[in-house]
Amino acid sequence: MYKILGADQREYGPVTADQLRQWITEGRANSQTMVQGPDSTEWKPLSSFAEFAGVMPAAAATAPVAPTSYAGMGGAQPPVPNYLWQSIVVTACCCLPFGIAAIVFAAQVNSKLAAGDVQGAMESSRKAKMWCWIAFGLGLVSNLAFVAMSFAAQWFER
Amino acid sequence: MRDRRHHLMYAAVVAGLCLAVFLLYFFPPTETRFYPRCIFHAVTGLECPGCGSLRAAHSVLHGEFATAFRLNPLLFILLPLAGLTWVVYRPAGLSAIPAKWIWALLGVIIAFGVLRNLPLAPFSYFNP
Repeated sequence: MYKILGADQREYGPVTADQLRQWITEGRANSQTMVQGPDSTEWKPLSSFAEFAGVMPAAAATAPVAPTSYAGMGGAQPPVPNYLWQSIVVTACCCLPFGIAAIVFAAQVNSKLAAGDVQGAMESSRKAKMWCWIAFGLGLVSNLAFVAMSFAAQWFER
Repeated sequence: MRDRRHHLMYAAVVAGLCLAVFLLYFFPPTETRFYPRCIFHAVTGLECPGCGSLRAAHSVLHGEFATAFRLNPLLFILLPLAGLTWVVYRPAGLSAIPAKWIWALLGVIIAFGVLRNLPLAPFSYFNP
């Protein structure tokens, strides 16, 4: 089994050698992609794995890290998380306005991915994540403040 | 390694849900202070689209479905849809959901948030 680091710096796998070969032919992984081989915890570029030399396209061997392509990624994890469920949860539980901003960026991730704009989708993904954390943080801080205030009120009543 | 992290995460989620069900069953949100509060409601005095969810969950646990529906009807419509979406899009990933559906969801959430604050029947009925 192999694991790879995608262009988005996330781990994919473990997958079989066959699946990894398919990723190479689809352009999801190239010679520069960092790979963790079987029984190993060391990350090495894919070019150093002899077993995949046969499927490596000649042109890609010298190309810099290519953006992962979203099309035809059947069965694999999507390369760009959209933080949709997190956005909805923070909208309902923590902070409505910032949660809605997060949902907007989540929708942008999906529309950009559908249009093939992986770079743009990653940008929107980062923003969705950022707004989720802002909404969550604000919800947490304000709730702690509410709890503190209600305890303080109780204290002074006595 | 990744698998173990996933198992731990699922265990934490299940434990959290059990705790939430226990607390929600025995402690009504209207009479206790420790539940999270909606800052949007606290600041503006308006009902946000998620307001009433905790009270609705408390009512559902006590079999009072009509009360729960009045407290937050959106939850009743969206939760089954969310479950279905999860099952359908889990293999491909939530990033594969057509964007128009997310925009529609956003529209529904905002429309519900506006409507439930109108002082008109039947919308005012959903302003708990």
